[in-house]
Amino acid sequence: MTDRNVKKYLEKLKSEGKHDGEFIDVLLASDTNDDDWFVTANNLSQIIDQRYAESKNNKA
Amino acid sequence: MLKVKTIKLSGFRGIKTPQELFCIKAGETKPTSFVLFGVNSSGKTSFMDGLEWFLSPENKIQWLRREDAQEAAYPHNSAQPGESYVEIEFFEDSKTIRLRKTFDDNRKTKPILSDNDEFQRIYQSFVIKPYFRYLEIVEFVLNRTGVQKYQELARWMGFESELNFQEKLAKVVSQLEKKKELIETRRDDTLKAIGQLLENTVVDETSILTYCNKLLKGISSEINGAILEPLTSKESLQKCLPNIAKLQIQTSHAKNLNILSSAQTDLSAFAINKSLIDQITSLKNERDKFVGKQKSTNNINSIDLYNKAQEILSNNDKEKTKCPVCGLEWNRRNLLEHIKEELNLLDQINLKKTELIQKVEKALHLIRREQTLTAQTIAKYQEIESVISPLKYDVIKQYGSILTEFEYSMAGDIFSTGWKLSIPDTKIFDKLESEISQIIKFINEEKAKLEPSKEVLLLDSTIQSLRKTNELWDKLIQEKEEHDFWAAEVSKFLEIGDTIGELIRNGIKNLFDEISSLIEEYFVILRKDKDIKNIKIDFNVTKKAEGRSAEIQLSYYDVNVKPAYKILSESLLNSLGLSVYFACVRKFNKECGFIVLDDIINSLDIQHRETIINLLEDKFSDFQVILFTHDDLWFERLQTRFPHWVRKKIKKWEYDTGPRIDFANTTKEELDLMLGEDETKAKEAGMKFGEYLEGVLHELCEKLEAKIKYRYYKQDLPVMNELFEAGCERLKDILGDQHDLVAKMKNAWQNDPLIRNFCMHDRRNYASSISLTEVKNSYQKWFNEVENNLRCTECHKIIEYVKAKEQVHLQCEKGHLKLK
Repeated sequence: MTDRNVKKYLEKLKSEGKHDGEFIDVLLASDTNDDDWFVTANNLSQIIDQRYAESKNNKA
Repeated sequence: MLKVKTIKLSGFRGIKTPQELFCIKAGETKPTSFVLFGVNSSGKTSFMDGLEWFLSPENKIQWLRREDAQEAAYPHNSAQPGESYVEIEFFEDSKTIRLRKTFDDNRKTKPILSDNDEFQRIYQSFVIKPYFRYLEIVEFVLNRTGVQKYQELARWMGFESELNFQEKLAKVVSQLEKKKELIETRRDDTLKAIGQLLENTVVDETSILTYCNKLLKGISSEINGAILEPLTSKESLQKCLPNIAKLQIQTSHAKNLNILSSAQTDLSAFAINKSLIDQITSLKNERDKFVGKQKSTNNINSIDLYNKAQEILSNNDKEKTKCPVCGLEWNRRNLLEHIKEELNLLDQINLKKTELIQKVEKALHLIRREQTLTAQTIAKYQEIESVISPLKYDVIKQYGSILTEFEYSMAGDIFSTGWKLSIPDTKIFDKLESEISQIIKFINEEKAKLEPSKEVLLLDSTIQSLRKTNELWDKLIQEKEEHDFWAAEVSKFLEIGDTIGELIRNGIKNLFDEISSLIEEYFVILRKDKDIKNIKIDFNVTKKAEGRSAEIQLSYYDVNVKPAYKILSESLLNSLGLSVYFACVRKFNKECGFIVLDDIINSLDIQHRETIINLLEDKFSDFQVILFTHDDLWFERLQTRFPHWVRKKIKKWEYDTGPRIDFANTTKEELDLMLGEDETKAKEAGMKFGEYLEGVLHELCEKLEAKIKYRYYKQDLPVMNELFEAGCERLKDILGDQHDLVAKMKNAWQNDPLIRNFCMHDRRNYASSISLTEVKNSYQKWFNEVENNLRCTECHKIIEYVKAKEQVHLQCEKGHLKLK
């Protein structure tokens, strides 16, 4: 049985701190909730859009 | 490990009345392996379907889905609600668990489970499903692409969650890439639009500024001598635009056009109060009526006097008294009434007067508003006259005079007798509207006549181009920023995707490597006749589904082959498919101790079918095998090799009830039964023994590598003389003429009357007058003197020819029985 391997891999990546933690959190939530791919993609898009808006505000 | 004691089906597929298979021998407590023989369409597949449905967490029978049959096809046609079920008794750690799955006619996809928790425990006991059909082997090895194989392996090896995540990740990445590309396309469209404007394929700050400066240079010498500074940045373009717009306004043509356009807009919005004259007329009538009651109105000033009188009289209690206002003598009570009436009348008059004054004020307000409007319109006409030829606007002037007269009258004392007001004809309003319409029309005509100068045209187009450039440049900067931001973020996510993808692939590769050696080990048992080694499941290198496609590769006579189906025959591929399945069962099904196999020998050639028995015996002796077959020869072999198995056969199948199942016996057991006391069975027993003997001789000759005389003519009788001759000769060659077994075999061939008959006559015809005793003697002699010496009592296999280290000898495959 390898059911929780994905979670294990994601947690390993997160603990290394080399990658974007917020993105990894989205993937972890997606794995835990068994989200559809489009829900996950949408969540990631929202994060990127939000970050872009913030970066524009900061510039302004 | 979990094993199966009984399988009971009712009202399911081809089984109507309850049928039960007992995988346990009488008097024993632990279940054992089980084989059910039945010709095609005898109902054994119904048992397989029932088992699959029972063991499927999704409550599905896969092969029926391929046939497009859904859950409604599961119950027997005439089964009543609640009658369709599968019940299995499991055995584990000396405990028996009985579970039932009942078809629910109201919810066909959701059967009723007798114990949900126990069912979940059963489902979790296996990774690869513990049932396998011939068709699935064919599908796996032949009809599956690399991606489909990988998906099947995920189900077989238990890495479905990883596969699902891999697929999800691939779709998420693709979606993010698409969004990035969308932003990129928008940016490229803007770039293209700027390029078209610039008429230049290179679009950057320099090329845009060069284009803008060229435009500015064209107009700077033309407009009022103004000198425009060259643009050096995006900001300078932004700042320059309002200044140029000012220049545009300063041109005479533009000025004139502006005056006319502005006038046109204002005149179109001109709205006179057409009810003004009616309102004034009504007010005048009311005033005239009020003033007509002169006496009353004059007395209004006496109100205070009457009030005082009323106060005095209230304090005086004399019966007769003089009126303090007029001096006449009144009865006091009547006088009070009189004063009250007078006061009421005067109050009403006063109220009306106040109302009239308010109306006058309101009228004055309206008149003055109209006066302002009229004055503005006349001023607008005069402004227009500065651009185009004189206008004619007498009506509005006349309306202005009327308004002045109205104002004068209303501002005076309207209650005085000398007050005057003349009311004009209301047609003045129609005339006013007509005059304005004509002037607007005239303006339009004049506007059309105005020819713009070259300089104006150039300025207009330059401003338009600069504005457009500025607008597109703003858009491009924003889209570039957005694209770059998205690209960086997606790249960050891709790094995560790649790393997690690699971790998953490494994990699965380890599984592949672990299973690959086991596959090879099993394959060698199934096909030791072929030089196939280095069997390995590996990822396919593919762009489309990188890391989600797998193939089997191997070395075939030292040639590397990938995928395996490129070069292997169908039979070899089926052996490979079986090896993969069995390896997965061994590797991953740690808690589930049974396998259900349906007609899997179909996938192998006749001469290799026994190798499956070898595999089951060598590698799965700790497993309980539940096997269904329609092949009588294989069944016979299974019975001979696994005499301890529970053996059953389906005698017949009836629509109303389903299959009728009975115990199955080996030929020897059947002959023993036939040769009891019933003389009528002699012929049948003789025939059966003949067929059996022929089969054993065939197998013996094959194992001894004996040379059998070739049958040349079709009319040669089907006798077994050649088999005996070849077998005896070969035994004599290897063991020597004096060996006891050679002598006994020769004796049976040449001296036993029944066997001599088999060898001399057509076996379809013999034994017509044979007695029960003759058959009994022959078969007992054969078994006791010959076959018991040829067949190993432990592995139940016939001896075979072995050549090792220059020495030749005969032994069973396992070496338990050796003949010298």
